[in-house]
Amino acid sequence: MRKKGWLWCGFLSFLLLCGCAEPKVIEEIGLITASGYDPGKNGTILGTLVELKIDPVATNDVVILETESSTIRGIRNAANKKTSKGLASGQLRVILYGEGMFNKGNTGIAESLSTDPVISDLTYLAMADGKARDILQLKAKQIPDIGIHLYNLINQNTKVKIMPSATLQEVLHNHFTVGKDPVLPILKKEGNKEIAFSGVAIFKGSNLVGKISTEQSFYLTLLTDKFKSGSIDIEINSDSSKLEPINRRLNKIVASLDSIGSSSDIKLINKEKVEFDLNVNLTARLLEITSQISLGNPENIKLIEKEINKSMKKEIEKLIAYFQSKESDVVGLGEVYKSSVRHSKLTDEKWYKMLKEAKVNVNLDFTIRRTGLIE
Amino acid sequence: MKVQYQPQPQNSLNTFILFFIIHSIQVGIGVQGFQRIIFFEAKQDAWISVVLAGIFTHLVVMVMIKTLQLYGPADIYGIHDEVYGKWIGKFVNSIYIIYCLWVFMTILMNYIEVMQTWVFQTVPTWLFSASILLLVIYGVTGGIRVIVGACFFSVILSVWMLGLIGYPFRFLDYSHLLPVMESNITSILKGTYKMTLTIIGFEILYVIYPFLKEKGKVTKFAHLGIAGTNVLYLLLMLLTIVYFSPGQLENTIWATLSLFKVIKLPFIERTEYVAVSFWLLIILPNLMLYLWSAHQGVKRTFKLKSNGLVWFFSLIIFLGSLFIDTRIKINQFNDFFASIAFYLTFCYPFLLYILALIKKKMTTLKEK
Amino acid sequence: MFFNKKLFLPKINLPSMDKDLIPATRELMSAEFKKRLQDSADILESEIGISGITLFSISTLIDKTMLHQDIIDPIKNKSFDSVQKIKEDLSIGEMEESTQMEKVVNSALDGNVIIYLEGNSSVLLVKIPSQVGRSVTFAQNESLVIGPQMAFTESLKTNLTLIRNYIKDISLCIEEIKVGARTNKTVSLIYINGIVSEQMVGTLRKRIQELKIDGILDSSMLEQLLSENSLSIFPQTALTERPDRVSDSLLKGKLAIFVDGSSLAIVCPQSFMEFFHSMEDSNVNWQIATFLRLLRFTALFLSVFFTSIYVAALTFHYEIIPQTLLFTLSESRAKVPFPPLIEALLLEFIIELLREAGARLPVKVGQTMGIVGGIVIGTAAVQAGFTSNILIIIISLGALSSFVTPSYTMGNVIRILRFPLIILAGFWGFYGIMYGFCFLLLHLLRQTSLGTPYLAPFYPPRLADWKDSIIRLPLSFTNKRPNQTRAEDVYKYDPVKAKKHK
Repeated sequence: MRKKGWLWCGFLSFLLLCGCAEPKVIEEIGLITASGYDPGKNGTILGTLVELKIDPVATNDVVILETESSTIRGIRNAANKKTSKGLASGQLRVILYGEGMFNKGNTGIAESLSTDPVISDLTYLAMADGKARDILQLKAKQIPDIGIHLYNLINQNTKVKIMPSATLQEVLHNHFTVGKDPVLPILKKEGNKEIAFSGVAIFKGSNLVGKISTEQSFYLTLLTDKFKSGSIDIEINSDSSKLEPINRRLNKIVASLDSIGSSSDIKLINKEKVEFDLNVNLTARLLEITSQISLGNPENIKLIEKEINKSMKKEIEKLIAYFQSKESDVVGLGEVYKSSVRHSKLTDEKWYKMLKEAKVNVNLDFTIRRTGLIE
Repeated sequence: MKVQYQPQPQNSLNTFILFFIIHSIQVGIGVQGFQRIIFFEAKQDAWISVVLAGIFTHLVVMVMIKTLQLYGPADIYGIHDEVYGKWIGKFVNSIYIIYCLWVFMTILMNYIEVMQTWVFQTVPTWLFSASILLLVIYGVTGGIRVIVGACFFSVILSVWMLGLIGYPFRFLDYSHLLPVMESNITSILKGTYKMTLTIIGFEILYVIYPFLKEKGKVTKFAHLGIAGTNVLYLLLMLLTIVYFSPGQLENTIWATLSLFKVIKLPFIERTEYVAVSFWLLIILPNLMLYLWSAHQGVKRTFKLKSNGLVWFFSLIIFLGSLFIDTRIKINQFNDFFASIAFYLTFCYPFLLYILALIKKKMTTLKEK
Repeated sequence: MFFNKKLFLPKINLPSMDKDLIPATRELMSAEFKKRLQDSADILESEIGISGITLFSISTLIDKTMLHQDIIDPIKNKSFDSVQKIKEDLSIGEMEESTQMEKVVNSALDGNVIIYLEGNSSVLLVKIPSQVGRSVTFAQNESLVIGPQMAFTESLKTNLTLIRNYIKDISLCIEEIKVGARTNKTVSLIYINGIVSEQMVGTLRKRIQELKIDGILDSSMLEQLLSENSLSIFPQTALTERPDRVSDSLLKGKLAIFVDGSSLAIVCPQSFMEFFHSMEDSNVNWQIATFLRLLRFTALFLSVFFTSIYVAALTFHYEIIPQTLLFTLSESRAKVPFPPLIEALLLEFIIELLREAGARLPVKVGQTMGIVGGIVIGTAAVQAGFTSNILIIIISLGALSSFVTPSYTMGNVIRILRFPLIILAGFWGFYGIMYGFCFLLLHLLRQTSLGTPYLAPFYPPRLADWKDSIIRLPLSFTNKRPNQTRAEDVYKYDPVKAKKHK
């Protein structure tokens, strides 16, 4: 037994000595925190990589690398030639696509990412309004590290559901689902110093087909997700005499809602003609309204509820009509159809044709739970 | 050789530990990515395949216990000897021993592949196989109590992973499950067949049976162990179907590990790296139990009794592992193995039971 | 066992039995006595009184005052014709007659005075050993806040007195076995008859009797000789200096071993878990005790694995570092010239040096070690770019955690275990850590303590024993003795009766 023990130890030390794994020591690798892709010349991809540079002596925390290559992976390899440390994408947080990437029908980008186990499924994807490199190249005092800044920006906005969540997992998920299309938030450079969320890109398959504004993004989230707390300013178009604008400065009535809670439910009610019932339940707190209406009166509250309901419903209907016209199913109607109809054998092409003719009845139920401190 | 086998009293085990033995040997390498294979066949009804496979397993185990009960404290090696006679019995036992080593090899190769794909791309296969084999040798030479202890700890220490199931919840899409029974029966059954590689392991009962103290409780704990595994598999299958979209799942080789990719703890950003390494503890009891049952087989059939045998087996497996080094080879290996395993673990117990019954009848007739 | 393999026989020419009688004349007796004790310089031979009584003894081993007051004074003016008469006149508790020279010489080594009367075939052995040693003091190594403060001393008698004071039970058994061909140490085996498993007593007694060694000096040495797997780093029996701990163990059905001249008792069988129990656990409220135990287990985990996780993450798995930590970590690493493995080993080494230096130095100088460690390592090493400050936090946390372990021997083991794990982590990352963990698990599973599984009550799982192992439930819940000791009397008290009296 003793002999065997020594034999055993001997073997193990031998293995340890000759079988060291390839180390990736943290200070010896260049950590890419964000990357951007734009169409380059001659069908190549222009990649912009943000490398976190940790050097106590250097003033800048990040290095921006730009290279062109014909594959996504090639960009990293090409960029490696320009850096002092080997690049690694295990800490990649944000991937930004230039608008041009989708116009040409550049497909399969998300797929190539998913085969690399090093990239996290929680990486945020976004589309740049214009070129991705312009956003990543942004130099501003208040943004020392553009990669982390973008990550925090998207993370913060996604959490409160201002932005639709577009992690790698969700985009891939929707991309591979028949009857659902992915969306990407659009980031825009404002002036020379700021980056802002400016809208949502709507896809059909992997092609960009349209954009909606940030206000409309609220309604999209209403349809696809649940609100637990959210806030929005909503414009009310009403003929009621009770709802007079408070002043002449704003010649319209705006209600400010917060603590929004919502749930939605889509049902297929007619299989042959393809008709959906879209039920949305919405509760909120009315914080402010630019009207002189007295909020103490229950009837007035009823009235406001009705008016807001009407306005919202209109917006949602408009949005769905827009999606139908663009043949993009970001709400996931196709998925509902597929799960309700047996042996549907649904394919993307078949569904896009049906989607155009589909009828969607929007039923919105809006309740004001309470008003603010004053009545 | 005697049919009955009475292990030394210090090696006998409490029967309730059978739950851990069966559960830990069933859950191993297959659980990392069984969803995709079944999904190919049964689509969103894959979970029905899992349930069916589970029910079938219960049935097989019932027959296995019935067979063993015919002889009292017996194991498969003794029964073979009794049923087939001396020489054919030896031959069949050898097949069973080779089968055990074969499973060992499959588990080892698949784990090494996962390690190489997910964490260490450059570490050679021989290094992993040699280091794991050393660990297995250390455990197996410690005897059955050490092996069973490892089973127990492997189950207990992996429970934390279940707690992480909550994380993927925000990505779930329950409509993936509908409509139920979209696939036809054949595809679902095909899916059930594909479960083989994932669900096998319970055949260890054939070897471990004599070591259990209270034979009356065997049925209860064996079925409990299998039920535990089935529930786990069903949960994972359902979770996978609602988490991944169909197209995505077809491209995901290790779905369970991919589920870990969205788990982000405050102190660990990427749990899958921890999980892949942690899997060593999950496959360790599998490897040890299979090597032990092969060892036990040789001990019983050929009356050889030496720890050197464990080293010898390990050497064979090590050499074998050197040849299977690409994914294509591993897949071929798996497919070939799955068909053998299906017949040996799912069909053979019925045959053996019938043969044993006939033999028993015949001997009683002769005595009269 | 190691020493059993080699046949060990002391090179002393043992006299045959027929020569072993007491010599008839005084001269012969004197010569024989001196010859057997190698004509040692401290042999005391004195003729007293009028009837030819001669006292033989080893002067360094006997109490001189007692010799004069209690032996010489009463008999010096009387005349006797037999040893029995002398015995009647002496008022000393331990007296014995002997006719064998072998025994006479050995008893002289035990502190006996031999009263020899010419013409008698037997001699009188009177035990008046000199009292060398200290009085009972505070427990130093296993100190408690709440609980008795006494500790064992080097005197076997005092130690046994302490135990007897704790357990005033008629069934408390004390067996004496002599160990060591040259040192001839008295080893006491203590257990409570009726609770303890007879089989265990038999095994242990046999194991002690079969020891073939020239000498043992301390119980810690005996402990190593008794352990079942001498290659294992883990202690398989506990060493303690606390009488209450020993008594508690005895009541659980365990056995204790005392060695004369050692202030530590050996308690066995001992499971891995019990090394993390302190006597204080039973003295404080059960909620607090449970919290303390869980704290100790967390500390065990931290101490063994924390540094290696750091090394693995920084060497191989940069992906798992959370974004918020990423910058801090890599910034602190940026100035360090060594890879994480070397850095960690170096710092662990320095911590061990500090600890060892602190332990070896006198108490007053030892305090300065803390200052040196704090300033030199805490500040200067980081500023010099020698190590990263995050590693310092991690390592000191690990070191601190290892000191939480109530058992000193186990604390040492935990600290040593870190080194192989760090090396494994530095070579194979998380796989290496898991590998080390699996190996440790298998190793612990293979160990036994006096034939009982080392990992009890975890494995074999005995849920009933978890109540007083991992956590500590109120005393009213734990009416059974631990399964591990295989006690013959299972119940501490009758659970049904206890309920009635509530």
